[in-house]
Amino acid sequence: MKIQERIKSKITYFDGGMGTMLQGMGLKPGELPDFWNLTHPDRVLAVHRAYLEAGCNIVKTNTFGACRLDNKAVIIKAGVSLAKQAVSAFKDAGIERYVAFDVGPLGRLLKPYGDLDFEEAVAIFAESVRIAAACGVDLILIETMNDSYETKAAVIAAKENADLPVFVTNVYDETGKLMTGATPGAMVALLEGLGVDAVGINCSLGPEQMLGIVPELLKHASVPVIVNPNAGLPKSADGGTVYDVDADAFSDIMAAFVRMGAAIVGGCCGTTPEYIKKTIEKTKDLPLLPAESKDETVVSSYSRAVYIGNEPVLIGERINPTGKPKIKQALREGNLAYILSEGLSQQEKGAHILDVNVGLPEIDEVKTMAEVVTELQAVTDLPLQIDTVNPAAMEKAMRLYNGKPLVNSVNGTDESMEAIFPLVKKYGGVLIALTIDESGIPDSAEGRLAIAKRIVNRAAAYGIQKKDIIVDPLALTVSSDKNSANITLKALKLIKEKLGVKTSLGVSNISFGLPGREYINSTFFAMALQNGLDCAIMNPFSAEMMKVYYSYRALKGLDDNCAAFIDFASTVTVEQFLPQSAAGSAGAGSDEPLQHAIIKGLKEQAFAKASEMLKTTPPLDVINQQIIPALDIVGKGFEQKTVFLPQLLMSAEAATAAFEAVKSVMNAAAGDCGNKIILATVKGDIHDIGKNIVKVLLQNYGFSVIDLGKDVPPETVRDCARENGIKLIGLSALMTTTVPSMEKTIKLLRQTDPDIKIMVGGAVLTQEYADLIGADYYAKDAMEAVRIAERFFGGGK
Amino acid sequence: MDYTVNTLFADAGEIQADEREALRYLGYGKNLPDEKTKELIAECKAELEKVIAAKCCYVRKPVVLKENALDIGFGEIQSRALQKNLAGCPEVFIFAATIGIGADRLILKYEKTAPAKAVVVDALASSTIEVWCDQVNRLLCENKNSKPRFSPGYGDFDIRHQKDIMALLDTSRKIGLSLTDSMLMTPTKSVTAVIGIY
Repeated sequence: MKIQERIKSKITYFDGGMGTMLQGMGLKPGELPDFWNLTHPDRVLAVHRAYLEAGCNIVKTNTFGACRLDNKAVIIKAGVSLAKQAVSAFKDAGIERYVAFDVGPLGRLLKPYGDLDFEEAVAIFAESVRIAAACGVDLILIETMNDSYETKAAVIAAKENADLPVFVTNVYDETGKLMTGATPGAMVALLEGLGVDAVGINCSLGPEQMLGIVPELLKHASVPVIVNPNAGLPKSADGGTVYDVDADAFSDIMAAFVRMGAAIVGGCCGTTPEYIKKTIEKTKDLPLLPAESKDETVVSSYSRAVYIGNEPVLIGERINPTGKPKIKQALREGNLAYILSEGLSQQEKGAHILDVNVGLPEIDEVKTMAEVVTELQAVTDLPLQIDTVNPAAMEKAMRLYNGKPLVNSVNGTDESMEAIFPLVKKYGGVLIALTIDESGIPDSAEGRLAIAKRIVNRAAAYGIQKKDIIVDPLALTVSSDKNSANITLKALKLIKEKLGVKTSLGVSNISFGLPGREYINSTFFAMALQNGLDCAIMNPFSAEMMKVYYSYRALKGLDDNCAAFIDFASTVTVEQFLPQSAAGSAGAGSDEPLQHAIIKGLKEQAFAKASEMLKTTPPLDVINQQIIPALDIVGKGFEQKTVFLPQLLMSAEAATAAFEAVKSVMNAAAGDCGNKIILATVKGDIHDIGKNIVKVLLQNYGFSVIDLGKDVPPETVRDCARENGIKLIGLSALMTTTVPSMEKTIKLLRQTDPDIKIMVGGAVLTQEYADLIGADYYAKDAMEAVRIAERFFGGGK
Repeated sequence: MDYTVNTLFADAGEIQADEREALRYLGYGKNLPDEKTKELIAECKAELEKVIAAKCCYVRKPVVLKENALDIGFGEIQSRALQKNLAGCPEVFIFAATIGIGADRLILKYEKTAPAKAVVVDALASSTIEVWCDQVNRLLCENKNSKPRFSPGYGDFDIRHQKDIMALLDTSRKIGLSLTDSMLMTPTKSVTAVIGIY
């Protein structure tokens, strides 16, 4: 029987701990068990045999740590061969036996929190999977993963490089989440999206501590659930290590898991053949509760799952250049900070999901989409909706996305369906399906239903379930057809009733071409909700829309004690929703209110005062007579130790806000004339904070900064310097271990581009150290870096 | 004697930043922050508290003195400074502690969007890991005589031993602590150290 069939028809048993068994046979703590495949094959074989004798079905190869090794090929080959050898001796006992290629984590954290690139992780796993698949295994077990992103890399590698069933078990900590934050529901969403055959939990704490987590997995999973706990926590006894849950207690809890619905059970650290034997004895006569398909429409981020259908879901629409000059400008300039802020402020206003659209004809959409998704998912825990008509950009973003995304969109044309369905099948996602096809948008509800039906049926042929499709029956402006809202609402209701799918609308399209759009939008939003709308792509900054949202929830009985509504109504004022209100206080009492605002670090006030001044004062005068002098006062204070780093930066942020106001009245090109400086945190170093402070200040002082980020190879610095004709470079390193990398960068530049000057800074650096590694200047802090740049370029800007 | 690797977790809210230390990291010396900065610090502290997940794993090991080297469970260490620190200690605790990835995440978020908050959260988080290490130190050394804790990178105690300690304690599996290629610990607000007991 194939393993995929077996797990759906009978309770299936994994073996138990390998590493801890080998430690009992003399493996030293800290020594990698995998090496014993070569040095002590007899002992590894003995462990496999003991577990098979105990009655387990699946033997894990002794390759948990192999993926990260240079000599992985020999170790994996030996490991698979030992497991197969053991299993072949037990083939005829009437018990099905399988060999699982065991894949553990790489022991390095992925970017941006560590130094391992996502695609590099995929490549490392892929190599191992190919080796194991060539040796002939029955399935791949990806286990003990404590990071959702690394888990995704491993699953993609397994799927792309072998045609084998993939099982995944994660480690949940005492808070019931992965180390990097995912809930069981979020992991189920991600993993089922990627098409794994079974999901579960292993290692972690003892079996008892899993009692809260396993039901969560069972509640959401449509595939069989695996439970492989440790034998509790380790303690010392009689000179050795034992675990505090014995085989009797362990097997009792395992039986409880099977009664709850776990289909695949076994053990992890500290368990022995006795634990497995007793677990089998206590569960072999229990019925298997087959995993039921859960009708959940769910998207996820690195930490949370958002379920669509129970109550209205708001999709923030603001990261989209259409009709938004500031986003356009930010995308053109590669100013990701602005886009990230736009995302975060929508989250603050109450968005549940963020739409991401970066489509501009003049930019490389594939690259930009990947960048924005990568950066955005590092700062927000909201799921993202990837919004593009470019299939290559869609694929790249779906691959790099740390979760199960919303995919915006597919339509009823063959071209669209053929491009998008395979991506959703491979990477997972919930699709927004637009009711438009080759002949356009039908002007009847029935016509739109027909397209929706066709999309759902066609998706089924690709193995995409109805629950992963959200139909958007399209809102068209009521200004050109007085019936358009009626048709959309009717279609909404019809599609929901006849097809049983979830629905979505880009609400604000309804008012295109009309004045007072918010009034129409919000009324239409209320009508649509009443007709069964599940998600709205909307502007969370619209007070009118949020009023409808909170009122609807209260009226619909979705808001206990009207708590959320009361909270909203008591704190909200219309003014708060206006972007950058100009309501500054007149009582600052200073002769120079803008300077005052910058010195005090008051961001909103600085923007308002600058805007006010710009009505009567030329932009350059605002910069030279107000912003720069204010910065100088703060900067000097910092040098004299009367002003400290947080204040310096608050002032810098206020100055940035004032610059924003200036920029909006000047030509966009005028902001780009400053002397250029490259900043980079050197290869190997992922501490970026010091360099970022320097960047903010340099920009404030009118320098144009090319920020290469962190962990930057020497060659990248040189190439960028050449491309841009750079004369001054700033390098940062925080650790003694990364200063050599700084030295390497300097050496490379000296060899090939000797007239470039280099300033260095960072926690461990000193003037002596800087001299030693051949730097031209040492900046002890960020202000010093500004002064160096000023001197270098000859007095300020 | 208990030579098993054990783990410790702090309860939510149990480990808090030390504001005075954080101010010191921020360069305040004896100066006090102004009102606006105080507000900023309070705001950052509240946000940081929500994401701290303080964990630690440790083991107790005998000290074996060799000629010009010592062994505390992961091969020979050549370090006069450590040898001096451990003089007269038959045993050590070796531990690895972290406050989790949440702090890094918050710092990264503010690096991109609000630099002043980023430096404040960074300083608060640095003080928090020290507070957590102090607590671990206290818990481990209760009713024992102990030496000040000593980390790889202090004096001539080679920072590369960080790798040995992490392998010995299996930190990646137990508390989610790993190393980059250039020997930086991730999550970054983490510490490995040795405490001599006698």
